[in-house]
Order: sequence, then structure tokens, then C-alpha cells
Amino acid sequence: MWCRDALSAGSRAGIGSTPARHESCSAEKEGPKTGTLDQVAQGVIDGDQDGVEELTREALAQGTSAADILNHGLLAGMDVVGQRFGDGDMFIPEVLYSARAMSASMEILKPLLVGEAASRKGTVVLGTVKGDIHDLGKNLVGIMLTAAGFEVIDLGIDVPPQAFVQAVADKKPGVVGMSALLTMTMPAMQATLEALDTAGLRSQVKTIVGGATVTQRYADEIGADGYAGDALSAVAKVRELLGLS
Amino acid sequence: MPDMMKRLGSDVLIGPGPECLRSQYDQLNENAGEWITGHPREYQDIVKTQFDIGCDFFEVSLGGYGDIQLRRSGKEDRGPDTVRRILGLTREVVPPNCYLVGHILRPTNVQPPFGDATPAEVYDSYQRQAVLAREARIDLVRMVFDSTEQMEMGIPAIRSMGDIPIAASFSLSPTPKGFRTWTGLDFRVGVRKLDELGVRIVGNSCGIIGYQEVTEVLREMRAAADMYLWPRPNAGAPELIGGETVYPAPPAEYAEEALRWVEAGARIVSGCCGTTPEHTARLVAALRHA
Repeated sequence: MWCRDALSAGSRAGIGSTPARHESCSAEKEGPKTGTLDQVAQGVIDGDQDGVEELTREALAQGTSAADILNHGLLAGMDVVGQRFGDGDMFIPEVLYSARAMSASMEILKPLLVGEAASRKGTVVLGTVKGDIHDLGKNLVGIMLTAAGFEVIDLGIDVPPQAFVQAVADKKPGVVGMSALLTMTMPAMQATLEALDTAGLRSQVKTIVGGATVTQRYADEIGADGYAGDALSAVAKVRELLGLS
Repeated sequence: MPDMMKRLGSDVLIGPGPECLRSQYDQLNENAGEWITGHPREYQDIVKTQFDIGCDFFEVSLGGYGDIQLRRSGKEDRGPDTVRRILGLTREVVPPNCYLVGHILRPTNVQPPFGDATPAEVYDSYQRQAVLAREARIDLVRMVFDSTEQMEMGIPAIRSMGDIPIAASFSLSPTPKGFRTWTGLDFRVGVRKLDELGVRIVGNSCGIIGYQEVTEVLREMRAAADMYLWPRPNAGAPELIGGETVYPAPPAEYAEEALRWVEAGARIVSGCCGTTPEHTARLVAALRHA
């Protein structure tokens, strides 16, 4: 388990724990890792953005391929993050730091991955539906998707159905993700699906919904293609919807 | 009239659930601020009705329309003037023996790791809301906390603007480690921290937790520190029935569970998502005659 005590003390700038406070905990629990890719993975787990960037450059200089850094460093680290999140040993702030570390490395790797996995991932349009201004979960999904190699077009908050329709028409994403925190705004998800249908775009894009009060049952009832209860499962669901998993 | 904190020594105070208002502005596809300022008399009638039902207080958001979250989302037009207007309208109809409570919005989305708000910006956000509370002679402010860092920042910020009683809420969700805030804070750790900071009221609000599960959480809160408790649960988990979002908790059962909240130490009782005037009426009937 990560240093949960870190959440009880420290920075006044943030909501939760910070990577610097994780280091001693993870080193103590995980033991020393050897090899640059293991260090990259550990850096992702620790949410050490600067360290992961440095190690990414170091690995490239050593001749390691971008694909190997992605698969055996970054994704290996995120697998651990996902496991710990599922076990209740990591929480959203730490996951976000990990995602940011991975995302920073991806910025370095992207040009080298052209023609490889990253370029095949596709585009996801995200937005918090009309009437709802909560964007915490939606932002986290965006960061996680970006870190996983997707192009993310974030429409922001309080997004009317027609704005989703326009984005689908213009950007031709593979997936549209809709978020709502409030039960009173959840019907806007259905309205958005209907607007896509009316515009003749519904069959051209997969749709996924999520948010604290949204359930699989609700997703089924309104006819969304997918539901995700958290940001990590959102990435998995998007992959599944696009046939990438 | 005794102040609100003194009343808690002898009485259980009851407040309304948010659905008394939501049904109005939702129909008009507006946000709460727009609807209230556009329909002041209708709003006041709704508030008065809650007191007629038997509520002891009414709660108004102090930051929902003017906080840095909204500023950074391009919604700065819903500013402090809107809040002042709503507070004024509400204050006009609060009976002499009842209270006005303010909800301090936490600027979660712009704080690290989600955003880049500086500690000074966050502190100022809390202070701006405290100014509104002081101007409106708020009797109590309710603050939701995700972490102890927020407590260390927010509570001194509010207190820097005056001696306003503070109640703290946690929005809890189930995890393999028990009910936690979304940052992973164990609510028992949070309660002990609040006790250190001199806060005397704590409870839960909203979250993903059944109203029956709240009872045990209250007992554990009480075991962690001797504080007044304020349960504020949803009326069950929402379901979509016939295209409508429905909260399944029957008012009578919700009120029956509230008796156990009071046994566990609750001195303020109100509801969050899905709690209607019918729920409030049942709470009043159950708790006033217990």
C-alpha cells in the first residue's frame, strides 16, 4: 500500500498527496528496481513526471525503441497503478500524477511512434453534458486517454447536444464520451444520443458515458455503447469499443 | 433566539433536501442561480414552504456561482452578486426562530493535481465565500472536505473573516478499504483532524453511500471524536424509470433510518440528492415526535 499517511500532511497547494512524498514509501515497499525500463515503470507508479521524462530520454539514448519504452516501461507501470487503484491502495490524485508522468513521456515518444501503436489509437471527443459544470472526472478521463495514446478533443463543461454533434461531424472521432455528476443532468446524455441519431451520425461513432451517479443500467437504458465507472476503466472501454483490446 | 450551536446541545435541527428547488429550475433547463434571480417570489415561496413543513434552516450555496472553478470555466457571470441576491431573498423569509446556512464550495477542480491554482488563489476563494457569509449574517457554514490539506487551508481562511460556526462534510464512496473520500482520505482520520482544528460538527453529504450505511459511518465518526453529527445522505442510488431519474428511498423508510442517525449522535439532519419535501415532512414527523 502506498503511503496513505501522505494524504494527512504536506502540501497546501494540492488536494492530496504529491509524488515527492511517495518516493520514500514506494522505494521502501517495492525495493530497488534495476534497468531503465523498470525505472520508467517505477517512475510512472510514483507519479514522478520529471524522472520519467529523464529516464525516457536516457532509454532512447541507450538505443531502446520507443515501442519498448511504451510497452515495458510506461504501460507496465500503469498496469500496477490500475491494480492498486482497483485494490483501494491508490486513489485518484495519485493515479492522475501517474497519468501525467506517462503523458509527459508520451510527448517525447509520439514522434518516434508514428506508424506504430500510438497513431492507431484514434480520437475521442469528451464533454460534460449540458447543465452540468462538473469536470473533475471528465478531465481525469481525458488525461488518462491522452496518456494511453489517444487524441482527445475536450469540449469542456455544460456542452449542449448540438456541440457534440458538430464535433462528431467535424472531427470524426471514434468515440464520444459524456460525463455527468448530477442526476438532474443525466437526461442530457440521452438528448445527446438522440441528437447524434437525428443528425445521422449515431452509427458512425461509439458512445460512452460515465460520472458518479451514472450506472451501467442507465447506459443500457439510454442506448450508450459503453459505460465506465472510473477513468482507468474508461480507457479500457474505449479500447474495447474501438477493437484495440 | 439561541444561536445555532447552542440549539444543538438540546435539539435536533432539520433542513430541507435540494429537490424542493431542483424540480423548478430543471423544468426550465436553467441553473439554480438563473432560476432564482429570475423568479424571486416563486423562490421565496419554496423557501417559506420548507419552514412551514417544519425545517429549522435553509441552505444556500455561497460559491456555486462565483468561485474560481466557474471563473476558469468561463462562467464568471454567475458571480458574487447573484449569491448576494439569493442570500438576501432567502434571509427575508427565514423565520425568527430559524437559521440560514451557507454551503462553501471547495475549489477542487483547479487545485493540483487537477489544475494549477496557487495556494493564494484557493485561500482567496474560501475568503470570498466567507465574506458573503458574513454579509448575510449566515448562522453556520457547511464545508465539504476531500483531504486534510483542504481543512488546513479552508478552515483558517473562513475564520480569518469572522467567527462563523463551521460544519464539515465528507462525500464518501465505497473502496476496498472502506468508505473514503475520492482522494482516499479515511473519514475517521478526517474527523480527528477536524477535532484538532476545533470544528464541532461533522457528517456526510451525498457520495456513493446508502442512507442505511450512513448510520454505521456516523457511529464511527462519533467514536473518532466527540462532535455533533450531520448526516446528509442521498435518497438511495438513482434509477432511470420511464425516462425520469428516480431516487428509490421511500420517505417513510428514510425517516425511520434517521431515528438511528439521531441515536448515533446526529444533531442536524437533512438530505442531499433525491430528498424531496415529502422526505423532509417525514423527517419532521419522525424526529419531532421521537
